[in-house]
Amino acid sequence: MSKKNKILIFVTLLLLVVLTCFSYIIYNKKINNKIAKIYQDGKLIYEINLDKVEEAYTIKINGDKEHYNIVEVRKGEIGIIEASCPDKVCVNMGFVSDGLLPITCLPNKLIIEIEGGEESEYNVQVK
Amino acid sequence: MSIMYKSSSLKKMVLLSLMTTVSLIIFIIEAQIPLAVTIPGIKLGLANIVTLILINDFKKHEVATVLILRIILGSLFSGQIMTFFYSLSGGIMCFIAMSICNKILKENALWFTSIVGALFHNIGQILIAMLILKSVNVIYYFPFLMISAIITGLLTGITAQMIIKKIKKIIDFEK
Repeated sequence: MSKKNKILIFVTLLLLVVLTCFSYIIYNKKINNKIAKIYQDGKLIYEINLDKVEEAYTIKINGDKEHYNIVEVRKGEIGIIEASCPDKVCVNMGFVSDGLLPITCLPNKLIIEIEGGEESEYNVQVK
Repeated sequence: MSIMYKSSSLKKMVLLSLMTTVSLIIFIIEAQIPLAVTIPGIKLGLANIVTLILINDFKKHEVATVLILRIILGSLFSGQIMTFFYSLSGGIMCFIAMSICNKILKENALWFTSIVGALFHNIGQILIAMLILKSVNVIYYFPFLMISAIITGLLTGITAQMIIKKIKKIIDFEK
């Protein structure tokens, strides 16, 4: 093995370790006061305080043309249960309850983020 | 002389068309493979093997043509306009990064070139996702996508190195 290859392997491993640390931090970061915000095309369309949800319900969000996503809101968690896109990445992401990773649906330009916030009463549609 | 030139350029054209077809088929088959990871943007990137095979022996614009054709046709077949933007931004970033990396490192470090390509492919995709979704929070996917890029990049890079060894016995790339 040449010296060049050894350096490259070292660089790769170093990168891998650093990235794993970052991932670990992001994955384990927890958010209190779970407020889910649903954005479509950059616009905030729903803002839901997940802790205040009593009974599970679904919201249908229509995109352009035939596209739609069906979002299910449960107590403490939110997820997309049905989507018109073929890849279904957003559905496969399942339900999120806290943490920093947003649920995204790239074809329909939809993004669901969980944000911490002050305790508040809102459970409203902002549209 | 002119006939010789013509036959060699014809051979090149056929070879490049063939490579485009191969990468397109890989691209379409890959889209059908379900992955256990559910983070959007993670994929194997097997179609990049073709780009890696060509990058040493062909001119930049020829490899770029194969890549762009594959992206256009691939999104046509998958039937999504959004796929086109994500693939294109990723593909262009990947190609530029790999060209530079390959120039510095030369042939026997193709596995590393592949990793660099995969890293920049995902950077390009995150940038375009931030632009389309108009959200900064997509950045939290960054370390996960980078880890996946290192693993899949290594995989495709080693595969490409092995294929090149075999293929050079069958097809003479040097005109």
